Amino acid sequence: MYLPSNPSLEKDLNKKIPLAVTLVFLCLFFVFFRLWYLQILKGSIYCDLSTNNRVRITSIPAPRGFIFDRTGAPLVENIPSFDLTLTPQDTPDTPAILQKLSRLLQEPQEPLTKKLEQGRGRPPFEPVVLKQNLSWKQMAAIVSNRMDLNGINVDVIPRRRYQLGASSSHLLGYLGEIGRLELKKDFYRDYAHGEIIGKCGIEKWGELYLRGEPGGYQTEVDALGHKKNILAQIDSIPGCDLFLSIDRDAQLTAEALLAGKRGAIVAMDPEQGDLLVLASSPGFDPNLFSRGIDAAAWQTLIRDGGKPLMNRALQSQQPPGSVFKTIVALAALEEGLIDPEKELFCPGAFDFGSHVFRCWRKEGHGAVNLHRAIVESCDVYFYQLGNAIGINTIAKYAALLGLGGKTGIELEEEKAGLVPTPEWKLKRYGSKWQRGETINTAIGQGYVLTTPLQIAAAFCGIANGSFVPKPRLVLKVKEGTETISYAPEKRAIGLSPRTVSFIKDALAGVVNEPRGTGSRARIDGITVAGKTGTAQVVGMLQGSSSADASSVLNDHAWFVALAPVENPRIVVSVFIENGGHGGSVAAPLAREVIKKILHLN
Amino acid sequence: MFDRRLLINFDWGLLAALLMVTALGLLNLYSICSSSWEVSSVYFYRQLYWVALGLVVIFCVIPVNYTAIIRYAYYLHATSLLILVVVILIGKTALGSQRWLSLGPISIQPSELAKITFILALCKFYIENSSAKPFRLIDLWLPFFFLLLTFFLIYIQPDLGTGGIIVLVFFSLLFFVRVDKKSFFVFVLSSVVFLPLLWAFLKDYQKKRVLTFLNPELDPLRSGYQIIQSKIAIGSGSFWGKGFTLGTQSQLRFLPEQHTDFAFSVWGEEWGFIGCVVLLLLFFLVLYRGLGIAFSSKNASGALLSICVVLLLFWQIIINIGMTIGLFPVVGVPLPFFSYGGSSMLTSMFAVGLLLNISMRKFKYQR
Repeated sequence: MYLPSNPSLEKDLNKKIPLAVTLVFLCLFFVFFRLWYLQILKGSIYCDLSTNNRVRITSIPAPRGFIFDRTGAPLVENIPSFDLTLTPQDTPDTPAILQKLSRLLQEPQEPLTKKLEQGRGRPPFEPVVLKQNLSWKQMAAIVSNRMDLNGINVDVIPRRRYQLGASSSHLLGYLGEIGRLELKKDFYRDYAHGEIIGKCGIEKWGELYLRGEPGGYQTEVDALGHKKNILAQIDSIPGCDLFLSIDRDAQLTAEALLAGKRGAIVAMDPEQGDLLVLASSPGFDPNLFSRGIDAAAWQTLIRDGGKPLMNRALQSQQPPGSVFKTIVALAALEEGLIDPEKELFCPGAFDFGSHVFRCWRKEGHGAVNLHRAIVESCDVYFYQLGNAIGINTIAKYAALLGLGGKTGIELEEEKAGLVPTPEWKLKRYGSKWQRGETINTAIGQGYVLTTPLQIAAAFCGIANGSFVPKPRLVLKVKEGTETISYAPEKRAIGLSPRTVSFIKDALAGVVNEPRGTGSRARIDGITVAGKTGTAQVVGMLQGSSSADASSVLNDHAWFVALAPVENPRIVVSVFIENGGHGGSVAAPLAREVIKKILHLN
Repeated sequence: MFDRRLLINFDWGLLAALLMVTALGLLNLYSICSSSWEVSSVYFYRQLYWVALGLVVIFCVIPVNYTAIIRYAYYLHATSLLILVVVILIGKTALGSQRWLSLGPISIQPSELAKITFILALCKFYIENSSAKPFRLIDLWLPFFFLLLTFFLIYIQPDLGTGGIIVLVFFSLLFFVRVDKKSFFVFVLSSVVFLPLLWAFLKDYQKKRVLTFLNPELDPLRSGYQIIQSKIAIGSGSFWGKGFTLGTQSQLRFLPEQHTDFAFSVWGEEWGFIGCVVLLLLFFLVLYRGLGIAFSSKNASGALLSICVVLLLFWQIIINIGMTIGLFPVVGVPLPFFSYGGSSMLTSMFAVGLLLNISMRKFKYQR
């Protein structure tokens, strides 16, 4: 039996127990005394406080940080918004009040009633927002009659105002009420129900910076529910301001160019990776979301066949078409697999086994060397070149330039695109890679998929010849007096200068030489270089391109430009969904954007 | 063979006081469920289930001789610390999930379990090591090590309330064992010197958190608000109270934890000063009987264990009630037997089961 006897301890304990009883008794007696003080002595005061229980907590959301462009021009600001609220517990005769409100606002009563019903099931002391964005006149009418309006208050809430149009809505993003699933995430651990958060774009990326720290009031309200005096207050701390790499004027130009089209324009600084333009069309009015969007408007947006919520600049994954020939040429040169001066004959088609691969120019290009093949975008030359160097070489250089992987832009919604390899095909489809597929890939058709942003970043690598910059959207965050700056990030690619200058020369030829496919990007005074792309939509028969620009079976138009070619300062990639020919549809848009950014007329 | 003397010495008074507190707690919870729209009646039925389970725990504890429990105390405590670690690791991988230990239909907070095994381990140490010579501080390295380790693991659960309780129990227990006065004085002095040093190392926001903890008025939107509302609730109960299910504070605004940490506020509002005094008396009876069992216990283990159990209950009662009437900062400590919560109910029942156990065996053993 385990029973250690410890007489000295036992003696000690027994000596101290009576004292312990006394102490316990004293402590409980102290509690007793405190209860007597609260319940008997001050009972009536607390009774009063409780019947009129009027101590309320109102939270004050912090003013969200502003967003500026690279020059400091505002892109997103806050403006005050007046909200009409009703606190059910303080409103004894709701129908009468609603009637009065409808008269004062000079608006029908139904929407107000509907809002109130939506607020059912929440605590009665929590105000329900009846109407947002009152006009000055309406606000004045309510405030001057507030004595007759029990439980009605007008709150001043900062509201978001977006200075850019619909085609920038994906870039800046929008706000919405925090969802149930988001609340469970660690990232949002400091957030409460009903809080408004950035849902996508920069608003989401910068959420923790932009939000600031909410404050609140502890107020006493009178029997009618009006705020009487403030017992305590914690001021909110405004959110930090963000400075983007965007050039507001150029962005607005891009928006205008994209109006009525489906597509995207990306302009990127090949040295720093700064994104001067990131536009996608169609978009939506971000001001609709400035306080959280209503269900009906949201449904319209997600049902829209034009997919206005999709940021085409980084989410549209499409075959790059002839733009891809640049990479195939680069791969061949860099590996030393061809003599660029050797001419191949293009009769308008290339027979391979049982299949005939056609050139876009039915009558053929005749004898072409690599330079001419790029300038005139000869398919037959590249069919043969692709076949000669093989899919793995093509894939190696495509991946080197960042295709088939995310560029690492701040916006997490970015898609990775696809650079096919035989291993990929075996894994994905369980079948062997066919040589015909290499031939198809060589002209940017088949499995290969890219986003306009990837194309821009890859051509930045060609423009500077030595590295692919990571696209940079946020230059700095200003936190009070402190500034966090984001350094440019570069990934070295180590191409030989000879290859790079050959490619750039050919790209300049695309725009400036006779029979070049990108002549419509030509600008007087500087040498623009570029490459057109006309990507066939899957299911469309080769060579039967219709002129109908709205057709969903029409070709996708691509154009990517670098300017000036001697020392590129800007890379622009333009993608127009079902737009038709890259040379005629996309090239002129690139031209306008370059002119705007380089301040040329 | 079951010894009939065991039954003769059973402390029916303690059991009765305990059952009455539990019954009043259920009554109070029923009222909260019926008037609050944040707490559904599911809680009431769940609490009934916990009470039943708690009684089963008592009757399981009673037949096992408590000296046997103390004998294995270090292993028991090691096990519950291990559970704490496991729960922390699992909690890390499943983001945002609560740190609960799930045993089929029963899920309990491991920090509650650690609280009990901690006092058992302390008992074992003092019983085996006490002598006529007082403890110097250096002799107490093992209990201090237990305290730091246990506190740390409970603190990062996070369960600051339970962590605070074990610290209080630990230091108040020092009063009962023989500690060298000079050595104790050195300890107090050194903590007085070291605390400001530690303070200097804290970051601004950490200082703010500590200050808010000590003075909730600094945080008028959260804990300061809860205290005001709790004081209004209790004060407005006046002498007779507003009546069963008639509390107005409880159905409104303030307490997200009115069924757990602020259950006493609701009681004070509905049953007034009279109700509070009755509850206080019942609690006093439980503590008084506990100390009585310690006094009449014929050996040191029984006496010390009883004292530990009483300290554990005492501090929880004082801290919880003190918090609702504005004497202490708001920390998450449930009121034993009274607040809603399965883990607290089971461990409190277990603790009282130990008291009953000791009272039954207060004669000298021959076997």
